[in-house]
Order: sequence, then structure tokens, then C-alpha cells
Amino acid sequence: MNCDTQNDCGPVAERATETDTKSTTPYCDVWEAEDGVHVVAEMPGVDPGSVEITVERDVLSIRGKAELPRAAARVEGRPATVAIAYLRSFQLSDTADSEAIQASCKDGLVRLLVPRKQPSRRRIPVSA
Amino acid sequence: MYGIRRIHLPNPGTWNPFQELERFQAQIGRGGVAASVKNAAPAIDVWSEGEGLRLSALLPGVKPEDLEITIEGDELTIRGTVATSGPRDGDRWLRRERASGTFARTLQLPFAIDADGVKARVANGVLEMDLPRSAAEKPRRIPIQNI
Repeated sequence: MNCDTQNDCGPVAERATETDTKSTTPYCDVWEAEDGVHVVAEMPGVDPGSVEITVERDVLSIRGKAELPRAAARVEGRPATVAIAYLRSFQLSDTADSEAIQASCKDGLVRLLVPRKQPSRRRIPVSA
Repeated sequence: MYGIRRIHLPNPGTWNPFQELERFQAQIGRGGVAASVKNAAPAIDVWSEGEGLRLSALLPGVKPEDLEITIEGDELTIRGTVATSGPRDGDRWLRRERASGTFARTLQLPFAIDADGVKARVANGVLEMDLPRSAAEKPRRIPIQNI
């Protein structure tokens, strides 16, 4: 594929030619370990302060915003950055402890640990 | 010609990691989960700006110390390593979409670059570079003598 150097080209700018904000679904690795389920989401350009993790009912959502550079000269007055909105959702099962989710963000990666609920066992007294 | 790669993102939807564990276990046995791993080579944008070029590359998870950039004339090469993150012994993959390992991408640029004037910075998994055109290749105005 040839590229005209007078215009921006490539996957990042291409996704944002129509609007100033583009929604993107990040690639994720998910694995199950002894301490729960680990999730690593790729969100290049995302500032750790813009990451938002929510649990609504049983749906875990990871959101992040990024400003990525792009060619500004193609359209007069167009900003030199494009806003990217990342969103990925997972449905949690009853065994996930949504109150104890841990998250961190570094180098464009968001890492989560969704621990398992500790099994609760109650003894029910039986009256005579 | 630049190496432009389109990203095909998976259907967002929702997914249940716990309840579908059994199905994924069966896939792991056949290598099905790992089969969706994408190439480690990064997505790169290049455009002209002023008299030089600007470059933006998406490198999530790549530390600056794991990145090597070389310029030789009009050829730019970006090498790096995406650190592996994933299950340890006894853990199990449920979904594997990220790439890991080493990568190298070489771009043929439209003109030679002044390697001493190149600026590169990495922040939050995005590499940005300013690539000034080599002075030897800049267009020169030829004075016309009145004879």
C-alpha cells in the first residue's frame, strides 16, 4: 500500500477521519489463576487518571481516554490530536468478588485482578 | 512505501470468564485460545510535517529500555520486546488476544533523515518521533546569474 506523505495515513488516524472521537475495543488477555481472574487490556496513550472501571449489575466495564497525535494539515483547523475512547466489557459470574477488584495502569496497559468470592458456609441450627 | 497494518478488532459484546471456563478449557486443549494472538509488530502512522516527518507507533506494554530505534539514510527500523504477561504454571488462559515477544519493523522513508536531529519519546505506550529531513536532501534554490 502506498502512502501519500502529504496526508495522514495509517491505522490510528484512519479510524478518526470522520469524527474527533473514535471508540475502540482494546485487545485483552484473560487468564484464571489461583487468586482469581486476571485481565490485561491494551490501551495505548491512555493516562492512568482517565481510566474508569465500573461494575454495574454483573457487567465489568473498563474505559479509558487517550489523545493520539495525527497530521493536522489535511483539514484546515483540525486538531493535531485525535481522541480515542477505549471500552471493553465482561460479564462477571456469581463467583466473582466485584467488591475486591484490583486495578493498575502503566505503559498503556490496564491490569485487573477479579478475585473469587470466598465460599461462605453457615451452619443452620436445627431446633428440636 | 510504508508498512501500514489495519487493526481488526474483535466484537466487543460481553463475555463471561467464569461460566464459560469449561468451553475455554476445551479450546486450550486444541490450542484454540492461543490461535487468536495477533502479530507483535506495532501499528505505525507516518506523516509529513514541515520539512520532515512525524511518526506515531502504538506500543502498549513496551518499556523504553526494551526499544531500539536505528536510522540509516532513509531507512528507519524499530525493534522491541513486548513482555509476556500471562498464566504461570497451573493457571489457564481464558482469552489471549495480545501479542508478545520481539518485533522489528523497517520503514522506507521518502527521504534521508538527519539522525542527529531525531527526537523520540515514549509515554503511556505510545512512541512519538520527529524525523527531520537531512540537510543534504533539502530542496536548494539555485541562484541564476545574470550574464
